[in-house]
Amino acid sequence: MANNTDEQILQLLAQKGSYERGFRLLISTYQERLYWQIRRLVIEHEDANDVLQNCFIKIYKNIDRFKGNSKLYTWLYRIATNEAITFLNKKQRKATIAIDDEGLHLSNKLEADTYFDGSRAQLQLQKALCTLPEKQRAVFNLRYFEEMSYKDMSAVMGTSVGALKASYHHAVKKIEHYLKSVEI
Amino acid sequence: MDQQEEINKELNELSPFLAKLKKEPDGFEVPHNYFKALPDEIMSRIEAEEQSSRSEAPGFSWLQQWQAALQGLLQPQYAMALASVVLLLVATWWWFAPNSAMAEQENVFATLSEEEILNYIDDHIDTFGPELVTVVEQADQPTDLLPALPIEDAEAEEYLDEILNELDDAELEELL
Repeated sequence: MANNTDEQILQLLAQKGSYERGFRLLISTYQERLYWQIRRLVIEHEDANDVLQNCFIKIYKNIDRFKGNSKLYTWLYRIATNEAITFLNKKQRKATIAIDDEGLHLSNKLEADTYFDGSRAQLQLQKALCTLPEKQRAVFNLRYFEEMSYKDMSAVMGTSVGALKASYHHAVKKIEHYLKSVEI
Repeated sequence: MDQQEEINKELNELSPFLAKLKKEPDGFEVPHNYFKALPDEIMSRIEAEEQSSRSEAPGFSWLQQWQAALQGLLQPQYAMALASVVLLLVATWWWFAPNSAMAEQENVFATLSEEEILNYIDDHIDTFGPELVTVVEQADQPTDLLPALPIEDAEAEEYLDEILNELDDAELEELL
């Protein structure tokens, strides 16, 4: 990620007169990356849109808490990932879905989503992902789709590099096993 | 080796099948112009939330908030209920509140000594009606006192005999 852009964003956000311009730049720089991280967790576009907007509002209100100890983008990913997982947990509590059925529920949503048009193999991949626990799914998505380093993933997930490696490797094996069982 | 190559090499070693699948589009789509319109949509929501929080801020419009609450209460359906509650409260207060004139009298009596009260009664005994005198006498007499004492009839007679024996003739005559 362009560190220059992050610096520019932070400089604009530091001054009241340029705060809105800085925030607009932050949105346009990160909206797509954060959207995809959220979308791959909550599956449906409408849900992803709600979570993403809430996420940016939260960032707007709390940007002064960013002290520069980590990279801006890992801080943003952390908020987005937490928001998405919180959303899923809330929805699960409201719908009183059993944990075992959560994966099935998400994969049904995926098939009904008008904004999903993947091949059979991609559909099965997403279904396999839906069988993973939320945090492991987040770990897999960050490495597989976002191509993030373990160090940055550690900052996002608040977990050690070793634990993340183990989680990702285990996730890959589980997905491969699932895909072989459905004979793609 | 750059980061992307390293990630792909790791995946290829773990699962060549997933490494191959990664090259395909994942199938997720977004509505047309979604990302173009999103910044404006988010900024509008932020502005709306800020306006809403400003109007809810304490001190800004406490008078307006009171007026709004009052107007709400004056709606016919709420006004009837409110009037009933107020009437009920007034009636309850009226029923249970001490009579102020009587309370004042009680306060005056509390400041008088027993001697002053007795003197007053002696001086004004003629002004008291017979009904009031009867009521006061009845109130002064202990009613149903004896049954409460655990004294047998024989004991009572023995006690009276003792008292009578102690009296001399003159005292006995005076008593009778």
